[in-house]
Amino acid sequence: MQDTQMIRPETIEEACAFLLQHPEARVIAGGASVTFLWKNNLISPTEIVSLKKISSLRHIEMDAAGRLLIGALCSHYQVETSPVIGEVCPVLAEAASSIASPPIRNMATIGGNICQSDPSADLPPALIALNAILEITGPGGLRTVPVADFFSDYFTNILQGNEILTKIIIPPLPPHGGAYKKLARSVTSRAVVGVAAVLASDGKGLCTYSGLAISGVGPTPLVIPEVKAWLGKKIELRMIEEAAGLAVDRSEPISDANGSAEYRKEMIGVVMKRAVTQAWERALQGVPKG
Amino acid sequence: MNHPIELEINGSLHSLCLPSKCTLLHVIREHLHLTGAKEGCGSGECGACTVLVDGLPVRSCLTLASEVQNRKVTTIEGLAQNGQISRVQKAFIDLGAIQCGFCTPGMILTTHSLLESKPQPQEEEIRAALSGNLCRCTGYSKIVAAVKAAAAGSYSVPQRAGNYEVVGKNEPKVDALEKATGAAVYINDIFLPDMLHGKILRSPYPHARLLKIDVSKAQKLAGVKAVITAQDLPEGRFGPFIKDELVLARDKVRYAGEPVAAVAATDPDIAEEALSLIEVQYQPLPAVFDPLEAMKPGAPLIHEDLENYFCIAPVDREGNVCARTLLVQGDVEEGFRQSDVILEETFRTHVHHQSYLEPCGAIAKKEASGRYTVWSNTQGVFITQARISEALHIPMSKIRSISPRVGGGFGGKVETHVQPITLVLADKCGKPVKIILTREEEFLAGRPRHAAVISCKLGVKLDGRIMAKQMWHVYDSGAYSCDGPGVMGFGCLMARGPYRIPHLRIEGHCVYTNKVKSGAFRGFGNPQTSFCSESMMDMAAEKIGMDPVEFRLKNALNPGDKSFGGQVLQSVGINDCLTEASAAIEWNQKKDVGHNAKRRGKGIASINHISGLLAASAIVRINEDGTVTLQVGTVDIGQGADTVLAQVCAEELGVSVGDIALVTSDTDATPFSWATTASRLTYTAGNAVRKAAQDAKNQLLELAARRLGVDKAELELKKKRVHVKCHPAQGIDLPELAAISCWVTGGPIIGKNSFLVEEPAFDRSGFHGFAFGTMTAYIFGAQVAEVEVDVETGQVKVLRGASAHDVGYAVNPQNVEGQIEGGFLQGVGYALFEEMIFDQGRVTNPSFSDYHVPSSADSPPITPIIVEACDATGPFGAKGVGEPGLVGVAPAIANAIYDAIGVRITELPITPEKVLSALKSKRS
Repeated sequence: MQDTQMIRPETIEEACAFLLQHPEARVIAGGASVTFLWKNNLISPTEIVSLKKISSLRHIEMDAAGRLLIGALCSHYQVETSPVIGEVCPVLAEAASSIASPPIRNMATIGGNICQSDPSADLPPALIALNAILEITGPGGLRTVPVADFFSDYFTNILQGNEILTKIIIPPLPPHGGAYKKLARSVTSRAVVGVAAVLASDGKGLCTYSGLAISGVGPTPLVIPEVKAWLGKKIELRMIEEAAGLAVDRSEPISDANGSAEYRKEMIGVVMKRAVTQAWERALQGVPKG
Repeated sequence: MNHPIELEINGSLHSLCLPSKCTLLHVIREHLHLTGAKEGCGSGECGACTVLVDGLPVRSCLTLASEVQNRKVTTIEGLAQNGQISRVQKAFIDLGAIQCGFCTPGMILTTHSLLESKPQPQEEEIRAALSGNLCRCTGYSKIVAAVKAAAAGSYSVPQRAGNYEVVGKNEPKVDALEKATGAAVYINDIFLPDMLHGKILRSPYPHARLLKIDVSKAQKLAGVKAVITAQDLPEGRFGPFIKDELVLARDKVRYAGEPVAAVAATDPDIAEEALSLIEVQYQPLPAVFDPLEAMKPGAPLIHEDLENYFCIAPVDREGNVCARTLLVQGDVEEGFRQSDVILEETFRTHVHHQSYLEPCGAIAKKEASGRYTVWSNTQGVFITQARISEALHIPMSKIRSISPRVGGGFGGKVETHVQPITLVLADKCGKPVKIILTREEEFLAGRPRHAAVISCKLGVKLDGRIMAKQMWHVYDSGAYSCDGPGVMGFGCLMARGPYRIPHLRIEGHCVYTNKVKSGAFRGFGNPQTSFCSESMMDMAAEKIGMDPVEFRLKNALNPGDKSFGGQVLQSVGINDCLTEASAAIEWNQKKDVGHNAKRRGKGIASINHISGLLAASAIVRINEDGTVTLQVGTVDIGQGADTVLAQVCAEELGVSVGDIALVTSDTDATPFSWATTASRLTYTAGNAVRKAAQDAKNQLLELAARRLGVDKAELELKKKRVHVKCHPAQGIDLPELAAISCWVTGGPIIGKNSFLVEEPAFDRSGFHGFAFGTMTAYIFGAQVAEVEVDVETGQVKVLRGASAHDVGYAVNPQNVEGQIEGGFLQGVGYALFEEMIFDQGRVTNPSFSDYHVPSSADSPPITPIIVEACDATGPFGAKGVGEPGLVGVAPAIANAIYDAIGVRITELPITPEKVLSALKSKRS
């Protein structure tokens, strides 16, 4: 049986140097997904790079520019319970708390969740709605990519074999309201449709920020850029319905044990209405509550 | 290649050399033999493998061992401090939170972690925290209660006053402590020297001719010790009703997942690799998946030899219909003429998997004597022995069948699974062989609940009397008959429901299709027919403008009424069940209809069932110190039969449960009992145990009478002492009496009893085809649910449930409640969450990520209600309770949905999509 080399670098540089030599190596963070694939012989990596020892990737901090920096190795549990995330972008905590079950959330990481690029995943829509940016470290140093541009297909993304997702950057946002609404067959199952909405109001009831993304309805999270047109306006049901119409047109859901493609399409409007309504209520209350 | 790693587990450092692919679960179980962490699914869904890493619960099955170096790993074995179990373990034991025990270690560890971070959690927080630890037995009610109690630090176990010392009391389960500490031994926890591992090659085709199997490459793989195909076996066909099944497919395969060949190797991975080297040539055949299609002339014939298969009773078979039943009473046409209102509707139910958390498995060993020992998780060691014997043509005397602790069964472990294959491999290799199924194999090749198509015509008078009922059932048996004829026949017998109906015509067909064979599952045909009948009851009540509870009460049976088939019913508690269950959800109060998109409703269903059938026997030996050894061939699969039987024995002999050594589940060491099925153990085995204990007591009293020089009738045995009733000071202590019997006079005392249900009288004159006869005491129940329907998404949430059951007499009320609660939640799963989905006969969702077993966070609070209509034929008046807790839940939910939104769902499961589509049809 083929042996697999496990590498546990202590710095990002060390990890990148190894990946430069072995671009086919699998990078693992929490390890749950890769371990599952590996033990069932669905993958047979010759090298695995575990990021476990790179403790700098476990921090959540605010930088001088007011950006929130989340290390890629932070567990969902950390994201869910972080006071600063609860303060700055509680929608992310809300999305994290809806993932699978507590033991999985103790293991799995935000970076792993993004890199797995499961179209039903809960964090990507919230991150897209927050306009988050990914910091990727590679042989040439750092590059940044908006989360919305990261995903390319089912379980596929733009990360190169010699690159590592190192940080998630939430840019400074005005006081806002956010909501993540997930429709699922059971509390612990994957999203049939998940919608994250982040909205801000100018205090006179006019929208000053709008972010919206949908999971579960196509190969990658669905983004509706037209919601930028909400800026300067009051959010009304009609506008949500228009955006939902666009989303339905652009969605390419598949049928599986959790729901048919038709049902997913039908649910986009319902879940979107609920997410946007709650986010807007929260925005108007001026309380950036989850 | 192995690499050195160092792990800190339960405070001890372990230096090991392991392949990098090794998971933490593998290390702690296979290398350290800390077997409290279980493998239930292997994919992180079930939570049985939970351990703590630095105090937080994680999935050890998805954690690489090398990734937790320098971290503190705690398993259940590390939870006790200085020999004292933790407060969480204690609360789980005391409050009945442990049934099969397979989820228990993970559940306790997760609770431990929760209470460390949140000492006083709210119920919602508890349910959320435990949502990653599935439990299939308890309905989570007693688990949540135990967590609350552990958090509170003090609690009391409710005990009722009664006429008895031991029965009627909430004795903790006799196996609860070993389950709470992870010490309980299940099949996969047994490690024998030189043991090999087996794997099974399965057909990818739903229907195909087997042209050729070439195993030569597989045989040459290093580490492979045996490869077997049908050519290595006698053509032994087996089955409970029709002998149509083979251990390995011969000539053709009839479902995707059917075993075709098997391998034993030094390592499971090598065995798996060997499977990929077996070359099989198939010629696909036209297949049929829908039972109604399969009944049509010209449908692909699945069993060409059906006529020649041996059957245990006349079954009336033809084409793909392997058994037919027709039960007639009165004149149904006359009944419809007398009716004011006639309703007709057709219902469909789906394939529902037992999803016990412990996968099926077996270990077989050829002993030096030439006999075979087979350990397996089975619901009946004698059934396993019989099936191996008929499948492999080995005399029963050569087979010793043993069951260790069983991690749930619910019917799915009654019939044989991997035992015969394991035995053949062990025989070929001359070494013990272990086979444990994967969760995927459980779905592909288990024995789930039959899908059914059921039509009903019901005639009712405006005053509420039911005059006539005609039903037509088709049960989809899948590729083999297994329990199908029984499930169909029993469904037909139960189809009348707990009501007086003068005119009945009930028809059933059990039909082969090219899908996985179905088998027994809690309710055995009754949930399907009750979904139809109890939905129809509400439809009829609405039509005549009567309240559903009142309508049911008006037709409900009374003591002295007869069963379908004319059996006189002594004890009938249906009225109390209906009254108490409906009161538990304030049936008569003005309902909260909900608001906006969320609409609320309440629903009820009532059911009848039986307390089992067939034989049981018991031996009670009085040890020379006055303690007792009870030998009984039953298997406790988590429901608590061991405890109940020990209570019955202890009560009769004036000792405590702790004085009884229980010997069960071993065909060499225990007398015959048919399996843990049909809600039967308390009644049938309970009767055998009680009568055997009475036999022993009688001998003790006779001996004491001789020693004391008094008449036997003047004596009684209480609190480990025989004394003269009117002069208690005169007597002999039980230990002394026992010693006298062994050493002085009379000889060792052995009580015995053989029990078989043969009475009361049964009238078969209107019964044709495959039909059951005399049953044990009938049991009754009523189940209610309050639901909230989201009319925009179609999602249904059960807000609360209550379930009232006439159990005769509750020998252990806590156990009875556990059965009611667990059954209710499985019913919720059946109604709303769980469905095996097929595409051209292949199961497309064979995992817990796509087959949704309800978690604690999906589960409603459930109120269990015990109704006791004592039956003189049961031990201390007891009847059964194992199955009925599930039976009426689906129609109660369907009726509640109708109450909430006015749409009638006629097809299970009630998915959000079906609810939405029904709402649309209603609007248009």
